[in-house]
Order: sequence, then structure tokens, then C-alpha cells
Amino acid sequence: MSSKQLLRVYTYVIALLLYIPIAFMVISSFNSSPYIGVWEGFTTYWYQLLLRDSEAHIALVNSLTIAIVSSTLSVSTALLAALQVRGRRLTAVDALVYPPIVMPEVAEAVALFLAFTYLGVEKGWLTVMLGHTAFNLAFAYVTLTVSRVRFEELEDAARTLGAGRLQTFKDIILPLAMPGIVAALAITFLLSFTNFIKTLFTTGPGFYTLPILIWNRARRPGISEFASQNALNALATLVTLTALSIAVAYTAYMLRKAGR
Amino acid sequence: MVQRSLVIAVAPLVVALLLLFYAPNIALVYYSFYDRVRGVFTIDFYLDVITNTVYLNVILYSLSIAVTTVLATLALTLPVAAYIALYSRGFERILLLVIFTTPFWIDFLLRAWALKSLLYMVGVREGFLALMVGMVYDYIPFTLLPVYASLARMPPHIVDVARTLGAGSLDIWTRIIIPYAVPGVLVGSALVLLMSFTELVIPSLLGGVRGFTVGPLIYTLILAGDDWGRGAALAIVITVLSVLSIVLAYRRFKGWLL
Repeated sequence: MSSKQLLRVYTYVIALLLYIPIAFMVISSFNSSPYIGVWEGFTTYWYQLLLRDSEAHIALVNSLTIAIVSSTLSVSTALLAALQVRGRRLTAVDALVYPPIVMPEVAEAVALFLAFTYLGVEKGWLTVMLGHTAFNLAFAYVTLTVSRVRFEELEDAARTLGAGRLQTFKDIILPLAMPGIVAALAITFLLSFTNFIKTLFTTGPGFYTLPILIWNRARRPGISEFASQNALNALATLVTLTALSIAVAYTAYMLRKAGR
Repeated sequence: MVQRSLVIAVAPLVVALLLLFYAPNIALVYYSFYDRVRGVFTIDFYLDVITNTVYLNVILYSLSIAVTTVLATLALTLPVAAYIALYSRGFERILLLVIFTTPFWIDFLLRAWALKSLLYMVGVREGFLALMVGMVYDYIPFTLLPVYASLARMPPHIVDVARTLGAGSLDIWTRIIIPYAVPGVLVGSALVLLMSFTELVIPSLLGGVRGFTVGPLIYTLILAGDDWGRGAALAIVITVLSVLSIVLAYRRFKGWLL
């Protein structure tokens, strides 16, 4: 075998290994046996159980609303800045934006916990959302400044041809900035939707998102049927599929844009 | 001169970052010096964190796990990055990049959970082995992509040219591929070191009694133990350690990067 073929086989083996645990989780979520690795037949029982799982419903609503609000807030704030920055490197702004990305997440989470505690704010939806927005702002800004968001030649051409400021913005600036905006929205939405560590430190008693619920149940498996191994596999499968479908839609969108 | 419109456009971002990121860090510093029980300012928490052998051992143990994770992911992913950058073309390259970036989108918690049941089935219980497998599994994409990005910048056909001119496989790896991979290796290593050093989820879910690293230690101090002073001081110490290691790596290898 040539070294090229050897490398190729190796590459696909590693690729396969990356997906085996996820595939195993998905298959287990359809296993009628409650025991790991004992296949007793196909069932959708664990998914039916999820329909009656009111805690999972609350967690889903919390995760979704926080992710939507946090990504919208952070991307619009960052977009306002990025449209004026136009790809220039503003050292002062960069110096403020990079520390939230570099700082260990657990340390940032502790900082948020202490600040909210000091202020005496009741921890829950708002504190979790604000905590997510802190790092989403940084990620949105970096994503928007890395991708090209302004095309001055085209804007000048539009103005020369008689387009007003509003029309130029609506018909030229916004559509051309769209790939960057979509990328920033996808990234910040998923960072928030799947965030665990910051949520753990900024949440209060009785408030939970999907990752927190999965964590609580994974650490005490079997305290109820909802927390049994395969019920948890079903819940984790749904969250994974949500993330994956956003990833696939995003990749397809980017490839289509690149193909033009 | 900075334009006024630019200042106005950047202001909301700056203010939001100051309020949501920088102000909380002031609280972090405040509590790392403030003894709530005695009501006085003190440096005892820092002294405790850096002199108490219990904390020191946890820090060193976490560092050794992080370094092992970096080395293991590098060794595993370098051939993959080389294959994608050197030999894959067109559709295959896009497919492989999608395959290796997709795990990014699935959170650590879910991947660690998925791995846990699989390891359980094959007889690997919570402990050091499960912890290391979990770390390597979760961090592979973080090393692979920067390394691939550096290798993709190699001049096309450089390997073929070298081979035609009589270079052996060993020469090609040590004198072409690895030197070209260095910037990506550094970026990937820094990223993985930083993240795995302070990891919380994988040690807690997969490590069992061997999973008491700095992440779980901070969690225990702050949320379970109500020991804010030591927790805050420890959070600052590990942040300084992480940032220092990045800065040192950058200084040391700056010549290689440019």
C-alpha cells in the first residue's frame, strides 16, 4: 500500500471513530431494553416518555428563548460596529473583544456568578441570557470582522446610480453582509443553546436549560424513569440532531454562497 | 482622527462588553481579596492556593492531563491533516472537512455523555483511562483544523517535486510537512491546552475519583462549598497561568509563525 492509501485509510478510520459514540447513543435511544448494550428490540418508548416529560419541555423553552434573544442581541450589536469598522483593525476594540474568547470559561463563569451575587440579582432566565451574551458579543464581532461585510465599490455605484441611503442599505449593504450575519447567528445561537458551564454558574434554584437538565440526570441516573439511561439518550439525541441540522443548513448555505 | 460615526457605532458593543465581561471580572478580583467571614481584605486566598499542596497537586495533575491531551491529539491528527491537505481533492476534501468540523457543533456535554455509555458497554468504567479517551475524543477537531489550515498553505506539488528530486518519505515528513505544520500545531496546541486545562464536564462525567481537576475543584469551592475567596483566587491563578503560557509560546515561536 502506498503512503497515500495508508493515510487515506487512517483518515477514514479516525472519521468513523468520531461518530461511533454518537451513533451508539442514537441506536440506544431506540432500544427497548433499559440496559446498556443489551439489544431487546426496537421501540420509540423513550421518545414517547419525552412527550410526558414536563421538565424537558420547560428546559427546551428556556434553552430556545435564551439562545434566540442572546444571539439576536449580540449579532445586532456586533453588526452595528462591524459595518462601520469595515475590516480595519481597531486595536482598542480588538483588545476588548479577545479576552472573553481567551479567558478560561470556568473563570469567566465564576466572575459572572460573583457579580450577580454581589448585585443581589435573582438568578434565572435573565442572568443566564446576559452571561451567554457576554461571550456571544465577542464571537459575533470576530465572525463579522473576519468575513467581508462591506463592498464600498458597489455602494458607491448604487449611490451614483441614484439610490438613496436607505435603499443602498436595504438592497446593497444588507444582502452582501448576509453570509457574515448568518454565520454569526448560527455560531452564537449554538454557543448559547448548548452552553453548559456558564449556565451552571449563572442559573438559580429551579431554573434549568437542556444541558443543565441532562447534566443533572446524567449525574444521578435512575432517580426517575425520565433520568434512565435510554430516556437520557433520547433527549441527548434530539439536542444533537437540532445542533446537527443547524450545522448542515449552515454548511449548505455557505457552500452555495461560495459556489457562486 | 477617529470618525464620530465610528465611535457611535462601536459604543454599544464596547459598553456591553464592559458591563457583561469586564465588570464581572472586577467582582472576581474583589472577592479573591475579600474575606467575607472576617470582613477584611487579605492575600491569604492567593497564598493558600499557591502554597497549599492539595491545590498545587490538583493544578499540576490538571496540567499533566492537558499536556497529554495536546500531545495525543497532535499525534493522532497530524496524518489526517496531511491527507486532507495533500491528497484530497474537490468533493472528497469538502466531505472530509465537513465530517471533521461537524463535531464542533455538538456540545462537549453531549459528546462526553455519548462516549460514557459506549465506554461502559466495552467495560471501561469511570477513571483515568475513560477521562483521557474523553479528552482526546473531544479535542481532536480543535487540533486538526489549525494544522490543516497551515498545511493547506503549502505550495502545490511541493511533495511531488521533492520526491522527483529524490527525497525519501522520512525527508518529506521531517523537512517539508512538519515545518509547514508548525504554525497550526502551535495554535492548535495553545487552544487545546487552554481548554483542556480548565475542563469541567469531561473530568466530572468520565473521570470518577481520578477526575478531580481544577475545573471540578473550582465548581466545588464556589457552588458546593461557598468558599468564594479561594474559588475566585484559584480562577484568577489559572487564568494567569493560561494566558502566560500562550504569551510565552507566542514569544518563543514568533519567528516560526511569521
